[in-house]
Amino acid sequence: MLLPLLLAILARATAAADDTLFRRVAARDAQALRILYDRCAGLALGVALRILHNRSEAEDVVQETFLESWKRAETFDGQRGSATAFVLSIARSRALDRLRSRVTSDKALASLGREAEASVPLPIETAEHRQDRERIQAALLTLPPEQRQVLELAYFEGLTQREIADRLSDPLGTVKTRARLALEKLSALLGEAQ
Amino acid sequence: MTCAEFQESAGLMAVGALSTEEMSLAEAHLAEPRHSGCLAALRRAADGVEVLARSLSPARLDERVWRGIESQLAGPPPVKRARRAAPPWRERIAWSAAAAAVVLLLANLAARSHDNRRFAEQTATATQERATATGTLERERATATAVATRLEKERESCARDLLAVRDDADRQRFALELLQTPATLVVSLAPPKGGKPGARALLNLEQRKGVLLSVALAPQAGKDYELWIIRGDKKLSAGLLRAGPSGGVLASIDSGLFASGRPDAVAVTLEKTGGAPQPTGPILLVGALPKS
Repeated sequence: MLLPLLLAILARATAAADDTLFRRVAARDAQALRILYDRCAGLALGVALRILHNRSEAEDVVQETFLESWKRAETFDGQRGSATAFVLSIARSRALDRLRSRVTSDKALASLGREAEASVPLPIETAEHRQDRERIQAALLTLPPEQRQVLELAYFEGLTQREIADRLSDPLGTVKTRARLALEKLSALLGEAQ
Repeated sequence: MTCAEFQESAGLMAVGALSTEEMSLAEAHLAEPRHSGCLAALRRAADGVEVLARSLSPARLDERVWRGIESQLAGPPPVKRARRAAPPWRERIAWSAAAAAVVLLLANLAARSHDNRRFAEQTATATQERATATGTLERERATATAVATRLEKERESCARDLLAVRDDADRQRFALELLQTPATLVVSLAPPKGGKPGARALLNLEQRKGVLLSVALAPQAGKDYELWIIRGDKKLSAGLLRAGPSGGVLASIDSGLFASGRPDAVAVTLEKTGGAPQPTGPILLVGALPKS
């Protein structure tokens, strides 16, 4: 009985802190942006790398992401999601834009091979964070494969719900339900991870 | 979109799998004032997406990435130039003089260019204004000419009317004077086959003056009434009788017509427009003078 209440209080407190942070960013406080960067840049790079498989491009995406966060700070709404989710949604969107515009030339393919080695993430996390990540990864593996697949197609490959339905030959409603169920399960892990 | 539909799509919205149109619909729903848990569903989905991202291994970022961001927050960084060794004083003076000359030359060129541009703009503006003014003047002159022409025509028409009125007045006065003279004969003109008199002639043979007065000669298209002085078998034209709209005619008779002696009769015929030297049409009215 007490745990959901504590989680709700924690979520509200986090949202309020994020709102304050973004208000400072919107007021052109570069120090606030640096705080946001320290909190999210590594995750943003991870998302961009996962989508692009190219470190140089992924770093460009991180730069673009924080510049866009700087410009769009006043649009942040803490009720819709955390500051981290806001930044990561921009990073994902920018990375997918690059992926779509990338020309599949021989040069690009060749560079992909070269960058693959360089894009191996460096360990920057504490032991505690690593434990959290491993726990999330384990939880992700407990999701039914079809739910996990829907999330990966949507989030990392940028497919729309209709494209996912076409690719998996599933009804649109099924795709929606799988995405909702999967995200609700993952959402429950966030409080524990924080 | 209902709240239930929105909440079913919230996961796909958070994960970015809605099309532009679907996203617009979802945003429109969120903008509505009343909801039953839509924002909370979206928040849960967003948290789930965050967890999905956290499942990835984070990567270390080089500090230059932040420096790149920071430099763009404050605008482009200043371009650094390598310092050169100071030249000897003569060279420095020469360079300074050359630089000053270049600056002066550029300033002069810029000023000339600016002046030329201003002159061209002023010329273009003046040309435009002159063309506009010329056009306006031409239009006003044409209007004034038209007005003057119309006024001139009206003046001429008015003068003709005044002359006609004055002629009528003169004839009326002349007729009145004749009527008041004891020697004046009043001859009634009636249709030859009998009937009501249609005109009267006032004749003063001593003074060789005469007028014809009628109120029954209505204008007829393509025809003119003509007055005749008849003496024996001679018929002398005494002129055309131009009737007014009401049929009134007051015509004076030329004194020369009385020079050859006393007329026997006076008649009116209807002739083609402009009259005829001798009567061709039917005699409409005729009146014989009393024997002296």
